[in-house]
Amino acid sequence: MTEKCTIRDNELSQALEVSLQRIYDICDFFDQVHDDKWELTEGEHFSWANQSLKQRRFSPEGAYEICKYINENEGRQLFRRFRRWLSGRDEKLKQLLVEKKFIEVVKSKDALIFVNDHAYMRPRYTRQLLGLGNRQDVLNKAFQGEIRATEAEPLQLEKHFIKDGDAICLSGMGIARVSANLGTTLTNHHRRAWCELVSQRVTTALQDVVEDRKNRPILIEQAKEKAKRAAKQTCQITGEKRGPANPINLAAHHVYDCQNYPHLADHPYNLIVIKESVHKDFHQWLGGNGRGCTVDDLERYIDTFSASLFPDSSIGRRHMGNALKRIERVRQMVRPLA
Amino acid sequence: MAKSKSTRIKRPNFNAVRGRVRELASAHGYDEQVLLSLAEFVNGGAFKQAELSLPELKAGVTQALGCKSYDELKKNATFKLYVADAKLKLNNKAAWQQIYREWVELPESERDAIGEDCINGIDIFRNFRPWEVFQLDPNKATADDIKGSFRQLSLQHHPDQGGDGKVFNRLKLMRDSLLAAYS
Repeated sequence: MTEKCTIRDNELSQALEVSLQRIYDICDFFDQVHDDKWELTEGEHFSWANQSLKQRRFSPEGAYEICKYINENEGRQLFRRFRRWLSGRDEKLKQLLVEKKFIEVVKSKDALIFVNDHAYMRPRYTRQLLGLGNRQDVLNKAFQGEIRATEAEPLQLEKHFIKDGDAICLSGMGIARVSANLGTTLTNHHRRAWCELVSQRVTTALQDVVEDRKNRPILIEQAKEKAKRAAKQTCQITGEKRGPANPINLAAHHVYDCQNYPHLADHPYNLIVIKESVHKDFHQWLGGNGRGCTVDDLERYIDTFSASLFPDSSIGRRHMGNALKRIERVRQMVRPLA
Repeated sequence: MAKSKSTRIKRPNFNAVRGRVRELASAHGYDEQVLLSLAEFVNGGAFKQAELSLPELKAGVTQALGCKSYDELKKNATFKLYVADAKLKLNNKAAWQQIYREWVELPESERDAIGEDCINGIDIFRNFRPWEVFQLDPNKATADDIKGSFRQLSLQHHPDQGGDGKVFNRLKLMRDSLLAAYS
């Protein structure tokens, strides 16, 4: 019910060009005068943003009731203005939801292939973006139409698309061309409008992904250096401090490995600074550097080798406790993202 | 006595000259570049290129993308996506020429091109026009027709036949791009 009531009081006040006080005077009138004609029902027309202050949020129906009251009692012709405002607001909301969806699709693990720093989208995700569902035949027809173009230049391999086996993966320019083709050939007006919306949103999302991929190694290195500085030259498992008497080397270890969890590679809680020898030993114990790892693997390693990792019983227990607390924090902060 | 307007001979523009050179070369087996050199000699120097102006280029692109005005074009999502992905700067004419070639048509000033990088009237590095280069109808050609045309052109342009490797690679790119429509 509360999801209906998304129109804030100041939004409504601006839309109807009345003061906020006037909105609440009208609400008070509705509450005090039990007239069947003028009524605002909680849950249906409004919900409380702050009940003690009697601040409200309105549903479209509630906003309409207030608009109707002003229309009748102040002689202002507000309906058309109100309808335009409401549909514009819905359109904006729809676009924001669409943009969120596009970003999700574009940033999906399997959505893009990278060749020479160019991003190409796999057919399944292109169809999702263009609102074609399972209609690969429609996508193929548009693609072939652009290859057989006579006025415009035909689509070019590597510039507009690449082949991944039998699948055609389109670049941003390729999506633009195919989208334009669909815009003229699709008979459904909503589909055409959708293709227009796609092109607009895909630009930013695709560019973000490509930039992110280019900058990723730098960001990961920066995150590692930051983690090492925060650890103050101390191994965050054994508690040993690097110094002239203990010239250990320290490595920043990815608790969730980079290969399988690339999106966590620069997450500050996913990095733990440990002795290089412990780092090497952990990966060897797991089965080599090629094998992925998670927080559970690290915890098992600490449990299994606690005697050698924490030789001194009293200080060792403290360091082990700290290490396990750190692991628990990784579990809480990072695991939900993995 | 001055010639009247009706008897004054109108000099052909460069586009027309090139077209005529290619016609004659094809009909009589002459070398296109040699004929063009002769025409330039008679003209008293190189011909002036008759390129589309920047407003004409913009108008063409605006129309091709179904927009009513340049302002609408600037907001057009497809146009913005293309420009962003191609990393084009719209404050120079070369960018608009590139967009025009890709989205509108082969500009008249670039038809019947003559030179070392030209095949069947197309400068293959400036224009991506595989159907014209291979001399095929896109609505009727089969995959075998494309392969056949490519083989014909290879006889002349393959490095083993004394051809330029860059030209040959460009022809391969054209062939592979067209064949993608048939898989």
